[in-house]
Amino acid sequence: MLFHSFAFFLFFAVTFTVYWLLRVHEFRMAWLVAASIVFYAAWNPWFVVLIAFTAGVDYVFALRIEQAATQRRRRWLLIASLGISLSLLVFFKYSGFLLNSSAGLFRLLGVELPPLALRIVLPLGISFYTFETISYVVDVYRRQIPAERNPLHYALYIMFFPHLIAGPIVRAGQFLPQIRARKHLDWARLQLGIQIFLRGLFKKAVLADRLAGIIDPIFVRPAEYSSATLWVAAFGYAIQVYCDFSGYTDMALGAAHALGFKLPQNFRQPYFSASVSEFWRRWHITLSTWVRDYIYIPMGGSRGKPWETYRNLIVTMAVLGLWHGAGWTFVIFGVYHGVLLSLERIFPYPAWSNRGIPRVGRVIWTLLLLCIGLVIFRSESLGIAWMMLGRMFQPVAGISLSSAALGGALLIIACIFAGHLLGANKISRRIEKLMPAPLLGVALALQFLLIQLLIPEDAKPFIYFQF
Amino acid sequence: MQVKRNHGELQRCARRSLFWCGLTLCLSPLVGGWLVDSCPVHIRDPGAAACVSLWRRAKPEPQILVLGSSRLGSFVRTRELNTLSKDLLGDDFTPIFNASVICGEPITVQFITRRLLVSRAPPKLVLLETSPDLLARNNRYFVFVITQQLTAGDLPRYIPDILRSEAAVSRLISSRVTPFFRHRNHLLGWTNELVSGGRKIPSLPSKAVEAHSFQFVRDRGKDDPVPLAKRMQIGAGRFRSYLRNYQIAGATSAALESTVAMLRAHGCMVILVAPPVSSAQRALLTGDAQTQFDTFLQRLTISYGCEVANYSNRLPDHMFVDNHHANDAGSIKFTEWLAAETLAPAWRKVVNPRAD
Repeated sequence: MLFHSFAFFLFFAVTFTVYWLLRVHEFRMAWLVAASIVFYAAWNPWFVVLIAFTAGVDYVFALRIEQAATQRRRRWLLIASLGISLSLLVFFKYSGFLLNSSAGLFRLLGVELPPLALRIVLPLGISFYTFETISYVVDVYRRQIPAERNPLHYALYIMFFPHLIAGPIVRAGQFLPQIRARKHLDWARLQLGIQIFLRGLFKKAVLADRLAGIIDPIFVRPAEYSSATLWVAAFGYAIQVYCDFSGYTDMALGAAHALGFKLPQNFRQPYFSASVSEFWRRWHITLSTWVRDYIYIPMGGSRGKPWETYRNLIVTMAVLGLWHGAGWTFVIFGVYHGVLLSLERIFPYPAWSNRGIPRVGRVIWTLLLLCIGLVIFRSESLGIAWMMLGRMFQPVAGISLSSAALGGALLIIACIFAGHLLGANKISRRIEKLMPAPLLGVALALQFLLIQLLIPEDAKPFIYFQF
Repeated sequence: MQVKRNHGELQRCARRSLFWCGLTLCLSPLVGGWLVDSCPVHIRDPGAAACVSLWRRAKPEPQILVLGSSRLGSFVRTRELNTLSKDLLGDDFTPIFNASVICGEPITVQFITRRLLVSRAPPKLVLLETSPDLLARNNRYFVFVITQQLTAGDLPRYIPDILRSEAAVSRLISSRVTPFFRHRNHLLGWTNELVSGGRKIPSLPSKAVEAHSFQFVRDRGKDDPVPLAKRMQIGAGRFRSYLRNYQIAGATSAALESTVAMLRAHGCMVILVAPPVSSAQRALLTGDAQTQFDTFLQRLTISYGCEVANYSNRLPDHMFVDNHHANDAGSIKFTEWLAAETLAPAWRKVVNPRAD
């Protein structure tokens, strides 16, 4: 059930109406859990059992960790919990990749293994909810939060449908108190939710999907296109993946607001970043803070010798890359970012370059570095990525985009930078505050109608659903 | 300027905003529906527009018109039909125009015929396609009618029949409740035309003209890995639910009758042609359905003085690309039969009515 489908609109209308009609708080929470199960089961009912198992195991382990008498017992319980969660993640997401990589390694050593084709369906959102359950158990272990006793509240924390499939990755410390708090229908919040949802819908259903129609064919056969077209494709993909994912996040945030919940912000104008480290503070914020808190800092962070910091950065970013998908392209994407972050520590930008024209130059340079990384991320294999990067840097002739397609792509890219500019200066928020209520209402409706008008014929699934 | 509001005022403002948002959305189907209804034919139904445009330009003036769906369109090879007719008729020969369109069921044919008749002198002879499935009250082609032709004014006439068809009901709802979404390509096309500053957009879309030859329909089976028998079963399966509880009534049969009446009023001789269909398609028809169809045609022949040419079981299955479209061999065979058995004798009657 995609957020930009008619089925979701119907589902949400029913969920929203019944939710606010119920008077008892616990009934409302139970209703949301039921709705979330229906939402997930619409894709594959059997994997509801898998989420229930993962959540159930970590619920029990967190309680045991809290009640454990000794530190040693707490540690063993934590290891067991992490072991179960990560085993499921590795089995469903990485077993094919590990087997293929092992076979490749043996082939290098001259041992030919029989081909083993695994047909394992990747459960939707497994990377997201596994990280949530891990953060919950670790936080309980660190005594940062108490273990949740109410299984209904815990189930809702994991399964709340707006963030279930593609995040944002919610921390128990932020979300469980919201579940416990009684909810009142807040019209201003509902209006805000609708505004945020529509913004996300526009980004995903119009901008990302229209851009996909232009650049997807280029990534299918990059060898046939000219260098300039490949640059447009790389740049376009950077915008597409942003519109797709931040569009999903906005829709999740909007839907949660309408139900009285606040999910964490995941993006803050990432393409205005003046360095790669700033980019990771603005892009997929809930994932980058997760890997910082649960991988980078436990490894030692920047507390050790410089080379240890660089090692920690590269390993952390490699894990972050691998989180995105089971493939060497993702690992190399992560390592590439780890190396860039390390280089920024070795050769820091001077302070004066963070203002005015020099900052603009840095933003452009950072965007260029990000585009190179995204070519690796998007390509089917490392060989194709290498070939595409080679063609991008060594001018070659080939197929070019039609003027209409190029114009469309540039218009969408311009839209995103205009959106970044409006968002960075909070201009749109100021305009909204000055607008009379009826005008704002009509503007919202017109925005929805415009989105309907501009949706392309073939709707694309969310890119981050595969992660 | 920063406007600060207290909680109560914020709630009031938000309620008012949401009220106006809801009101605008409630009114949007009316505005969108009006825009869709006003959309030019060449944008909303490019196939029909291309057909009318080609008819208007055809030289020398065609006197024989073929009207129908892609089924008849795939069977009739216009160039060969003209050549054969020339051989058969000699000096009496007159050019033939094939006005068949994709999804050309009786309502669409009526829509096109109206436009053809006002755009130049009416033809003298019309071959009009008719088949049991095209006349069924529960009609699978309603979804196309809703998208391409239906206006708010037509609703009272069509609603009783549309409600019988599950697919058509959802299409009607989306077309009339969310017209900006369902008709987005039409509305964007029209906007593009208006924005281009009155620049004349050709009313003859190249795709529609290409489709007019129906060669792409006849080529369908060439690279298809699915065996023909399977394709026939799949294709016929799509008609199964529509031919269950068969009834000739409602908007489609009325449209066919109205087209015949209109053509006769313009002095055209009308021949109702039932094109060949595969054995899989014929097997779907019950005896009762066949009787209803025959009775309906008989009534038309008596009431309007038209003739019937039934080819429904004349072609073997290997001359089809699916359950009801011809391949090249099938179309050549049918064109020969049509020229010799139906068209030439009928045209002789038109040019020399006392010969009988």
